[in-house]
Amino acid sequence: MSAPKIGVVMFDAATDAPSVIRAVDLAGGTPVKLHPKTTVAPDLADLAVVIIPGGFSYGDYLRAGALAATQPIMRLVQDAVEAKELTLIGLGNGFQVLTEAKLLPGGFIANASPGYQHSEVDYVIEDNSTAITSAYEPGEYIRLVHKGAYAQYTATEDELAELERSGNVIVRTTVSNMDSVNNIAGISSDNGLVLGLMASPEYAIEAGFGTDHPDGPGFGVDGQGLFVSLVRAARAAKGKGVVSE
Amino acid sequence: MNKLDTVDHAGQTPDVEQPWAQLGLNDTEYQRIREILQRRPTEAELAMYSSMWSEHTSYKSSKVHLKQFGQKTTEKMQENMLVGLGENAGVVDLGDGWAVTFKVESHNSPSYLEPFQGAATGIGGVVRDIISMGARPVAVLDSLRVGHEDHPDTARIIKGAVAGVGHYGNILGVPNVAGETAFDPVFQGNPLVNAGAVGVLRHENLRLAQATGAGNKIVLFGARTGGDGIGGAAMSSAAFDDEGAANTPVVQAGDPLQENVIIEATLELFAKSLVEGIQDLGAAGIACATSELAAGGDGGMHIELTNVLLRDAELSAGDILMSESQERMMAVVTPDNTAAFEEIMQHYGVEYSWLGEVNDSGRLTIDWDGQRIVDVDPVTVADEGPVYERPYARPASQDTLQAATFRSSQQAEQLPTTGEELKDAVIELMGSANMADRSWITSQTDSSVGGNTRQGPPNDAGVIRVDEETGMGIGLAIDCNSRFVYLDPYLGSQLAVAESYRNVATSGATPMGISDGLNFGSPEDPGVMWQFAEATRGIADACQELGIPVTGGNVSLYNQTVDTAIHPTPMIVTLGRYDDVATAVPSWLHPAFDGSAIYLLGETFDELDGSQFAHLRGHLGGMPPAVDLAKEYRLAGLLSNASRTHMLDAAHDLSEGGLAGALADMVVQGGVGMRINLDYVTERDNIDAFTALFSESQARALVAVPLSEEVRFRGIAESRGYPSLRIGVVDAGSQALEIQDLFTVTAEELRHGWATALPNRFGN
Repeated sequence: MSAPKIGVVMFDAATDAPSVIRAVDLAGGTPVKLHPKTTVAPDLADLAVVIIPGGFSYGDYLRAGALAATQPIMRLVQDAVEAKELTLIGLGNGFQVLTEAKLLPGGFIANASPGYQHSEVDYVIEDNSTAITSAYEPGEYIRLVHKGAYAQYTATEDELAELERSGNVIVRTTVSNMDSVNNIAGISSDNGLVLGLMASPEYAIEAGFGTDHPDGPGFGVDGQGLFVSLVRAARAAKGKGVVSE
Repeated sequence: MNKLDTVDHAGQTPDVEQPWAQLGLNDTEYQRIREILQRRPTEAELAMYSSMWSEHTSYKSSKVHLKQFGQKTTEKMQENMLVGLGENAGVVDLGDGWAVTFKVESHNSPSYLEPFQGAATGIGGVVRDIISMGARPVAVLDSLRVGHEDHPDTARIIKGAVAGVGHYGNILGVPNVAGETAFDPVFQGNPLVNAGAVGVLRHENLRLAQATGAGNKIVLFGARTGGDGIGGAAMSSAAFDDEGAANTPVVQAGDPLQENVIIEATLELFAKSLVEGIQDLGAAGIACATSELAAGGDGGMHIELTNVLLRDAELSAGDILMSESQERMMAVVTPDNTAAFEEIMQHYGVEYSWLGEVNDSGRLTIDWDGQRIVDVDPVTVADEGPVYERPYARPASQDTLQAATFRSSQQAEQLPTTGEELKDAVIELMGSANMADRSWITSQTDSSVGGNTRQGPPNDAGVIRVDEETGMGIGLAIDCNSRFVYLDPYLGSQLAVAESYRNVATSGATPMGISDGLNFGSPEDPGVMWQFAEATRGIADACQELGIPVTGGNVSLYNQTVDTAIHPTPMIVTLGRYDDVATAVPSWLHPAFDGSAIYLLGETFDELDGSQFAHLRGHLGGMPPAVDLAKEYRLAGLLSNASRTHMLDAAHDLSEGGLAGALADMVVQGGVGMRINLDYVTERDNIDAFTALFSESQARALVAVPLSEEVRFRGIAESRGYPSLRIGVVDAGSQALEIQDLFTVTAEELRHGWATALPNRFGN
């Protein structure tokens, strides 16, 4: 099978980008780096899926994700979502970029216990019909790295009611230590094309370099499913008019 | 500067009063500058000499002692060294065309004044040292010494320093995989913040700080130059007086986003071979970089200082030369490559300005707006600073200190003996600030970024994969027990080397070299200077015996408030190598290790002086544990051999807190229990249970061996003649440490104090 191309946006200080690139590669995709200043639509022509990786885009100066959200590439990917059903995925800080760009509802505030926190967290898959969860079972528990200083998801009551009513909450934390409202960790847009997850699945893809697991320390590779899902989505998109390879 | 103090002007006005004393020079040094120049220095030259001849930059008091690191390095030890002492950081060959460079640096005085920025720029500075060698930073580490855990100022220091280390390293995207923190009242007014960095490179990308090739261009790139950090090198070269904290403006502010971009831009410059020489700007800024580059190369350089891009247009020439603004690099580029250089800077959005060029004049000349303000021989600035043979003498009080053993103290009159008392002592030990859970610190830094972290905290050593194809990688640990060094600087420093070395070996790596961060009080105090002389001798001798070189280091003196000096603290970073990091061994018990046998390697003697237990009882005196480096070498060989051949599930070195500390730590980290029988230890070594648990004898480790590997493991331990006792078994179901016939303490009972000691004091 051919390896579908997956775009990865390279914002300055998107520190998780190298690991996201490795994860895409290991899942059978071909990662394509996208420069944030690009204003040329052909860069996206043969891409069905674009990932905004996590980290500290532009140092998280001003507000987490805020400066990244104003970069030229964001206009391009937004247009591509509308024009050709591009799937746009934000992981960790990338999710913050998506809410700052108003491509997903809600936003992020400082952790209840202030300051940056790096830990491993158990998540539960609520909806396995999306481009990032299709390789998991509904109700499946997965352990991923969770990190950030502004990682607490929040939304207005109306937004929250709408998210829950429409079934757009796709992943939740199993403990409320992140203090995100309704334990929300991952959400989808109504059309399923824009997806955000406040987690770092790219650090649970290789045995020995992953999260804790009954088999041994670092043996957890629960993040693989997310990258397998999105490579699968990119492959399927070929039938929908996206030229690939 | 109102009127520009040019070289001509200085020649015409020999009698102008100059502020040499305020700049930290003494009269002899100032007169020597006048002799070298055959006139008085200009203001800019005075600024340059004063910062380059400061203790912090010139190592004038320590040089005579540091020499032995090179002298005691045998040819065999040099085998794997690509670059040795004297460069920004030493470089060690890893094979297959890979090399690794690592360094530890102190940022003590800025971190006392402004803990967050002081610690953050400590990380930033040491990482720039690493990229100057052509390496990609792959790990950072930090070592902190702060005052008493309950002193009101300690929270300010530790919260700021930990957040600063995290902030800078996290935004750089470099994982923090090793470190240590200790609390002791002697660090109250002089906390130590040492930051380390490790980088990897391909041999062909190695670059040195040399400006060669007349006609080559000098370029400054990165952040603009501002008024921050002026006089920092001088500040770091003086003891704090009673009002030490009034110096705030000399602390620099860091911009990790800028440095993140500079790393990528610089690595691309290396990859495309666009720079001939490179130097980061740290202490003494442009003054240091220009003089060191020129002195290291052909010896001549001309700079037009008005070309420097400024954040503050009001800065004087002297200020610009001395500014310690962060995130700046200076490079030497051939004229052919200037266009390609500019293209890369523009691609990454990094500002740069061409300052001048290399020449063969043998002089470093600096002009300000067409007028000459510096005309010096760069070697006299960079390499020929004063060298002092400071007087040193073993203080008379040392005898009294060493005679006051723990066993002879009042505190030893009531020691725990019953099972219940011993259990309480273990709980107390693990709940003490120096032994408690470090998660409050380590969760504020990113240990997994980069995706190559095989092991991070709370393991004995951090482990990073270097080559994704083969799994080849490195292990590193940083250690120093300052109390041992205080009791006997020579032996204590050897123990610091031994512990760091042992930690790397316990994690399964083969130790390759060390870098030291030497933190001491005032060199003008003969007692402190004696500590320094003894410590350097101890480190050099230990390295020679272990067969690993000192690859580089850093000296921080004047860690002293009025006449109270810190405990001498030579922090030792050991770097080791793995053929494949898959063989790395964790230092805690995972449920998957259920049923494995626990072996204690090494022997236990009655050695409680300077121990964590004595510290808990408020006692410090006597002699540190005996050093046996030949034994450490054999233990390391046994451990790395056993882990390389997959015989070990887990391994934990025995250091602070002794056997009790290691057993309890292995249990509490993962909530996995053990059943232990101490009788074997007490009978063989002829000691009581209390001594078996709390003595801090060296060259010991605990290992967990899967039942399937026991025969093989016993075989190699016996054939190597290393003392080994099977003292128990892992019992995952029990979730408790059971010391048979004495006590059982559950992981929950241990956790109660252990997990809360830091968050309860310093917040969540």
